[in-house]
Amino acid sequence: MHWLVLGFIVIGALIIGTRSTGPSSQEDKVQAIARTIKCPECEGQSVATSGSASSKAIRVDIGARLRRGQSADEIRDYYAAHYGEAILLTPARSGAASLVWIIPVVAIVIAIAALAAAFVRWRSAADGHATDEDRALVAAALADPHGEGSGR
Amino acid sequence: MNAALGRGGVILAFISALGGVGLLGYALLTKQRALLTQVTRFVGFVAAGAVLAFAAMERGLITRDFSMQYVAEHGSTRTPALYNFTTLWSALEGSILLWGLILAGYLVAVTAKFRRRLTDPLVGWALLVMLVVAAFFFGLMLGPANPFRTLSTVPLDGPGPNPLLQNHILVAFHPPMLYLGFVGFTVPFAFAIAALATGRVGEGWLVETRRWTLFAWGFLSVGIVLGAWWSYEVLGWGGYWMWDPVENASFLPWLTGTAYIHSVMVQERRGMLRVWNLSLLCATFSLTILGTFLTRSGVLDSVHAFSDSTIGPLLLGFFGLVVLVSVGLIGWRGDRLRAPGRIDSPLSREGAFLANNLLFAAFAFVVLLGTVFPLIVEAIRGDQLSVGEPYFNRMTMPIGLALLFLMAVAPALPWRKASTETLSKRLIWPASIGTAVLVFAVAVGASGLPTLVAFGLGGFAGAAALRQVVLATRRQGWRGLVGRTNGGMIVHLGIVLIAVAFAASSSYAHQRELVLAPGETARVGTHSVTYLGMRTIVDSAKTAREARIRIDGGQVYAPSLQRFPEGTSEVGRPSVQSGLVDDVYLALVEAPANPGGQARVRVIVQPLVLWLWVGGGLIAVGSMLAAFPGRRRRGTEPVSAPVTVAGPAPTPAAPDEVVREPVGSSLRTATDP
Repeated sequence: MHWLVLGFIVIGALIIGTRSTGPSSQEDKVQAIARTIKCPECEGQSVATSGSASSKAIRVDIGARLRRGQSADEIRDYYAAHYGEAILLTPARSGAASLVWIIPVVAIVIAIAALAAAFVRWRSAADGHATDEDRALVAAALADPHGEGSGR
Repeated sequence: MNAALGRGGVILAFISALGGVGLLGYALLTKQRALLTQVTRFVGFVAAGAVLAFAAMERGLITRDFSMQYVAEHGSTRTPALYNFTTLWSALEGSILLWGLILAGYLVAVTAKFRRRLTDPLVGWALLVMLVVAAFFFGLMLGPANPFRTLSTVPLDGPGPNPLLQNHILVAFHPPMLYLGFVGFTVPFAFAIAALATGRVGEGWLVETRRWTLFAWGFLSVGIVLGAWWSYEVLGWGGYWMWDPVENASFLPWLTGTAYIHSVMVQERRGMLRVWNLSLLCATFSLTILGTFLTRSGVLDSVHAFSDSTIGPLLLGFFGLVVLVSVGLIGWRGDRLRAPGRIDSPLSREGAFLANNLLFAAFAFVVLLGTVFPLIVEAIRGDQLSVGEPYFNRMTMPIGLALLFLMAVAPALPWRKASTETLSKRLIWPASIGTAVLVFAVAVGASGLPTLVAFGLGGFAGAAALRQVVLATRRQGWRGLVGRTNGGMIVHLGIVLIAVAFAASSSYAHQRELVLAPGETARVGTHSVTYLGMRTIVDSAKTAREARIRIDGGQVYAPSLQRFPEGTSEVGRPSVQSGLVDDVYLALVEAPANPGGQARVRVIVQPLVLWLWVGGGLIAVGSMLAAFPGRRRRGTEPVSAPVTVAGPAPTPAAPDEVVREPVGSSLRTATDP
């Protein structure tokens, strides 16, 4: 009962919270795109965080392109064509680069499946009865409480 | 003189390490146990050599001995005393020297701790492994990473360390902490190899090294948080984590190490996951080596890649050796590592630990893949691509949320098997608090599905951890705060704070670049900033041009551009007003050409950033509490609550909250030789 109420409250709050995203400002949109573009002259920083001259120029250019009505993907495609694929901090979703997106997902799915299979195997192996051998093991362990691994 | 002393120290340490390896190897192979105790001398000489080398380098830096190449390239007469001292670890050779010193420290500590058991082959093998690692690092200092090269023509002055490494106090703490963590994982790794070599693969070595692992893990965690804090305070872009290769290199061993300190409990309790735990430890240690390779060899672009060096192939070779030896030994001992146990139900403590390990392994895999993927693509296809922050954020976000959920549920799960009634009873309050946090977040205007879910789950997980702490202290008084389980819950609280602060600060940052004339005021978010004017401050090391900016009509902050005499360009130094609710981050982008001109200032308002550092502090406190011995119990005390055969699992005494020591593991030692 309690859980049902909590569930409804959570769903309600999430609906309200995700509905009122509101239009983000021009500058926030520029930042969002700039974060995915690498600064051409500095090492390992995005255009959004770098203070270099070319980064500033690119930020201004992104703003101008947004005002001309270009979409984020169009702007990114332009920069990839102009500077090469390496300027994009998010690898493409097609071709060899897409492997970086696909491999982890496949790996996680396989790992979950393997874990599930292990549980199924353990369940089928369970008989729930202690054998005489088990009892002997317990008795031996209780007789020697300070054996290796007793933790103290 | 300094260079000669230092080089003498390195040679002494290297030869002693090799000598120790030889002695131990001979004694272990010929089974002369009495001979094993002689290793103390070699360890002593390694430590003496390391201290001598470190002291010689510091002396060279402090006396400005520019006949030493390292001092001439990284020191200067103008550098203030503190940053002059920290110059030792501001570049490659000195960092390796610090690594060697810390490793020597761990060697001494392990030898002292196990001084009465030096004749035990397990300890002998562990010391042998540590000495091999020490020999490798001191060997590096004899060859490609020699910190004690001398110059024939002695310059009058040097350029000083990288400007970014001499304007914040955290430079004195972040690298040593990180290295204490990195190098600390050598100890459990050495015992893991020793367990494999001796065939004593039971739980004994795990228990012996439990506090060492915790120690290393705590330092690594704090080191990483301090590194994030340093980037935030110094780099001027308002962020603290950008998935830079060096950050990833420190984060990878943290991920596998965290998986290990959880899964080790399953092995102590149930004797299972032996191969997995050994693999995690070997992975953690080899990842510290791989991380050092990735960041010090210049193969990856990074703000931390200070220098190119020929050290790369050697580190890569050592990494390969570590992996080969680990895999080989685990394969060789495969028959002894097979555990008879099984896990009864996924809905149990051990089931939760398995899920935790799956998630941490996946997390580590994503980070590793993202870091090395550009290298792989370039090697295979010859073209370049980048994998940056947006990729890591998107890929790790679902894993992070799943981990938060697990943190909420797992502490309430009993071992073996949970009934839904038990779970429902134990989780209703934490879940209610999580819901309340979510509702509160929505009420104050938070939006965005992943961020809201992070808040809700953060509240849930935080309340679950608090519940455990409250129950334990109610039952045991102050002892309810110490011991692994209770200290662990404090660490969980710290992690929850960091997760919530990360979600909030990265989702709701407002950034504006303002051009302001003196006296002009602008608004960013809910804050107002007023530019008052410029001021120039000159000291021995640098010239700083400060923009004086008043925030919210209150205190004045002074982000600056600093020019170091040797530097070609100015380095920004941000200034931050930290608050419980949000931070106002000021970075001077462009100073005005004339005093009355306009200054260009970047203002970033980010919520909850302060709580990242508070979370880091809680992790440190929790790690210390966890290392403190918990309640002692007699070996004959039952470790599990009585189980009734029929009906639902008994719950009245909340049996899982009793502090348990791994007594039950003696059960499995029957299978050990």
